[in-house]
Amino acid sequence: MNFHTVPAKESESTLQWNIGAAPEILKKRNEFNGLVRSFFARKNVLEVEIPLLGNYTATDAFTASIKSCFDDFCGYLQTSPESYLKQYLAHYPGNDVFHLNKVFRADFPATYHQPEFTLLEWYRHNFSWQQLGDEVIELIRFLSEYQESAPSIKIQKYSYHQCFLEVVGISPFEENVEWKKIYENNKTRLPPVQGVEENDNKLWQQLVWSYLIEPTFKNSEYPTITLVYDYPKELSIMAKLSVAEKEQGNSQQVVAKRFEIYYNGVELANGWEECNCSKMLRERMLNDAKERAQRGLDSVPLDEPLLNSIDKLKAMSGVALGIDRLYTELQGFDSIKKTLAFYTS
Amino acid sequence: MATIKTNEFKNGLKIIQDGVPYNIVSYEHVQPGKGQAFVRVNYRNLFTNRVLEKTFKSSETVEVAEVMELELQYLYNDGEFWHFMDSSSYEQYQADKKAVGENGVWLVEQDEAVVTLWNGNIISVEPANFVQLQVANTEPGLKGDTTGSVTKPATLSNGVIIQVPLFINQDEIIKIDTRDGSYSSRVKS
Repeated sequence: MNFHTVPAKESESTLQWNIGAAPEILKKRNEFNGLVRSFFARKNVLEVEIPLLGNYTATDAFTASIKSCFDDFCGYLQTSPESYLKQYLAHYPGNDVFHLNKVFRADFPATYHQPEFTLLEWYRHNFSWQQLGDEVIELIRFLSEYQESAPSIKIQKYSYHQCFLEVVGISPFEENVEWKKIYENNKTRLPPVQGVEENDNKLWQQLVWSYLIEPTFKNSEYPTITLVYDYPKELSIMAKLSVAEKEQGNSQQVVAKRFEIYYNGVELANGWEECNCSKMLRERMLNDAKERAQRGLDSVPLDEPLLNSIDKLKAMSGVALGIDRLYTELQGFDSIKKTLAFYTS
Repeated sequence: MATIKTNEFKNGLKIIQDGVPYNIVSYEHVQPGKGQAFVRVNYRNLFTNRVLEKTFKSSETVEVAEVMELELQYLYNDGEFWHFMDSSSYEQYQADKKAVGENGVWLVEQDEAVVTLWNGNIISVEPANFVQLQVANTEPGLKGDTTGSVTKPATLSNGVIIQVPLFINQDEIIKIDTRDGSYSSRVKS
């Protein structure tokens, strides 16, 4: 599924670029970007540009990068600014930084997705994930107030555990759950699935999430921000771990200090308290490499420059937010394509 | 057997599922920020016209249906089959009741129809969007009424009863939209 695994010569498919948003829509989008920058300027958060073509890329199992080459050099278009921003912060510790620029993924265009899109990512020192989650909500509120009909937004916060428990009645932390059965035996009849191995429990669980849980994050009456927190440690990515009280019983559960934010059911932001232990991150990256190999995905080199800077990072939290999606939702468009000067379909 | 991967899905692509041809009505690649991609597809069963939803794992391979759409001239109905002809090759095709379905009433001899062939057999027939038919029976027309906002029933030459404006008279030829069986306009003779 990666674009670069298909040599351009042999493939009939090309990226179809269409001309989209009219000047009046772009004018509002320019103002919107200006508001984002003013929000961070007021808080003394510095805008940092990173190399978009880097030597390394994200190593996690499901991020597909686009390879790009010139002369003898082959690198990756950056899927997020995370690696370079962390390297910058290891070098100039203590600064708060943000990035508002394009990133690239070898993904197919969809209603809310493009293979290249603008990502807003920022890092705040001495912020817990809770503080950063609140700052994301503050930003969304700030931006929504400049819309023609400023909506009064409802906020809801659920733990990952609570989401599953309330919707399907099963804890995601329980061992040996057969998620295929949960998907297939649900009282809401869900569409049949083709091509997913019976034992691919991770994908079945994700289908339960996408088809049953995510739809509950949307409310037809008012705009809703949903913050989901306390992810299982298997989904920690680069987040610190902590223990949370089990919501049933007294013992404690290891969780990732990570949150996701949805706006009207649309996945918008992903953030966490940064793990600053390179040994632990290396272990996670090696596990991801194993999973990539098992799933037949391209292997990617370990990002050593990132790993070398991890131990120098101070306590901080970071978050990435799909700003095209937020603009689309706040403006009331039904697809991201209508807000972009050029889009692929 | 031709196959195609989910990343080559397009609206209108015909695929085979459990031995039945389907037409892809819409599809959406779902790419969770931190998860595995999959594809949600809405497709129409070409036999029953029912639209169903299905989820495919990303990069899954499916069989392509050898489905062709041809514009054929409708010749006649022999009581069991509807006969069509390709006006350029003069090749003839026949369709049974199952393939023609309720659209059969709107087939007018000599008119062109869009016919869907799967493995050489007709599986569905789309009559022309507009057909001209004679009014076989209706109450006498009211001269003064030209607004067409008030209607009355009229029986057409094919036996179908539709609503027409009051000014339409028996034996007149009128144009009908076959997609919803509604009156469209009067045909000046």
